[in-house]
Amino acid sequence: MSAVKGAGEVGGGITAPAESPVPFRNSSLIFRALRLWRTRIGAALVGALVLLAIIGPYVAPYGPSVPVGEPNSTPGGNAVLGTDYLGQDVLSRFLYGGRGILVMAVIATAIGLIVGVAIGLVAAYARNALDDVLMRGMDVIMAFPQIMLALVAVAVVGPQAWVIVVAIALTTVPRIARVARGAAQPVVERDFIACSEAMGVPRWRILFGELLPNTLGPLMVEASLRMTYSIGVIAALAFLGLAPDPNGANWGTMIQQNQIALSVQPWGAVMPIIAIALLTMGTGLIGDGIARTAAGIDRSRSAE
Amino acid sequence: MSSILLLALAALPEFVVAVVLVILLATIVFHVLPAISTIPPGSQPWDNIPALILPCLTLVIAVAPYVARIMRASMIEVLESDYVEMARLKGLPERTVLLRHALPNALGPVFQVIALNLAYLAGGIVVVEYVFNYSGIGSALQDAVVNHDLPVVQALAMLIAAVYVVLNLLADVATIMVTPKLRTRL
Repeated sequence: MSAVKGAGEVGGGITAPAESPVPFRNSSLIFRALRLWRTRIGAALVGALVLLAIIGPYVAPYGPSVPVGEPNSTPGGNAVLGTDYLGQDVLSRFLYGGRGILVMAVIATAIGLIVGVAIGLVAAYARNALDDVLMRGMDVIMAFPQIMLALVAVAVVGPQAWVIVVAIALTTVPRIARVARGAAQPVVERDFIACSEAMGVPRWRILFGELLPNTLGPLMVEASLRMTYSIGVIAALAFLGLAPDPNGANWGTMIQQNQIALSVQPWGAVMPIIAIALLTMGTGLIGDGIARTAAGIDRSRSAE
Repeated sequence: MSSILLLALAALPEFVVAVVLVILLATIVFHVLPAISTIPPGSQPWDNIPALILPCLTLVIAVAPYVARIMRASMIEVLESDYVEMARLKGLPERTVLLRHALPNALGPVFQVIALNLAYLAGGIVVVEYVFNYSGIGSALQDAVVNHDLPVVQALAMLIAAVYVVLNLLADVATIMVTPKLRTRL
């Protein structure tokens, strides 16, 4: 949160226009973060699993729901990782299973990010009753655990993909909004905002041209954190049997279907568990790397 | 190193932790604990302690990394403050500096996180309840929603909201009690 406080001050004081140095610093934040090993490991994990999810369906030996042998048979023969509870090929379903989760998680997080940032910045800029109304509304959504709201939405409307995406996005919005507001509040008080107002810059350009670039650090950290949780909640919903396609190849669904046969044919549940674990660990590590880099930049600067 | 481990644990969805623990301790690797913890009608949760171990362990692994990370961040911040430097310059043993001077001031954010996590444990662990077949508040709420049982939904939502409010209040009071700087506000 305090990461951004120093960002504009250094450039703003001497080189006049506060706009120019700040976006440069924020875009370099990711490159600086990549100097940390934890960020590199995280990026490698996420990259590998995204690649797996994208090219998996093209290299899978069978279709996702083609019976290829006896149910729950162990690895060997024509199924490299054995078959699942319906005799479908575990490896093929595993290769098909990442796409749905990843696409839904990315869309949900993106929607949540856009709406949350807009609400948070407007609330921070308003500094009046609108601020309170918006943020107390966000508090109401936040009082309930993310998974419960998603479950309620899916139970009421049905487990279609868009319902899941909207529910996850809705529960992401207040958390992003809180961070955006917190990061924007000290920036709103600064002189270059008052200066833009005096120059008659349109309000939306102050919000997204002046305020937003100065809050990017904390927002990137929060975005990767929310991505981690979105993947987790979407996989958990599938695990509870609430995926768009009840027998679709989906890592969460696979764990649920095959955990009964764990002691006979563990691979059907173990492979998707490993995939989800590595994916969420990867996004978590990236977020922490960015957070540390942002905090480090702030610390070295306040020491100057 | 330990912080990377904490981070990795914090990122894991709790149903993944739960299934991994079932694999490790209740089915494939070791078979020492029951894989499910049902409560037969008329009995209490604590009547069958071994059945509670795996669900509790899952939730500990799900929650502890958050508390540890916020404790670490808060402690690092406090250790940079002037009064900690003052205490060290006075020649106090490092143990006293850490436990008597730094720790009380670092506990505030930790209480907030503990309160949020307890609120989450009260209503948000439906997935863990599902893995272990435990009949808790989360699964009760889910059943009530699926069956359109509105009074039950209302009661449980009120209960979860009340827990959230009370825990936040307690965390605020506890923060004021332990933080020397804030104690005069009571």
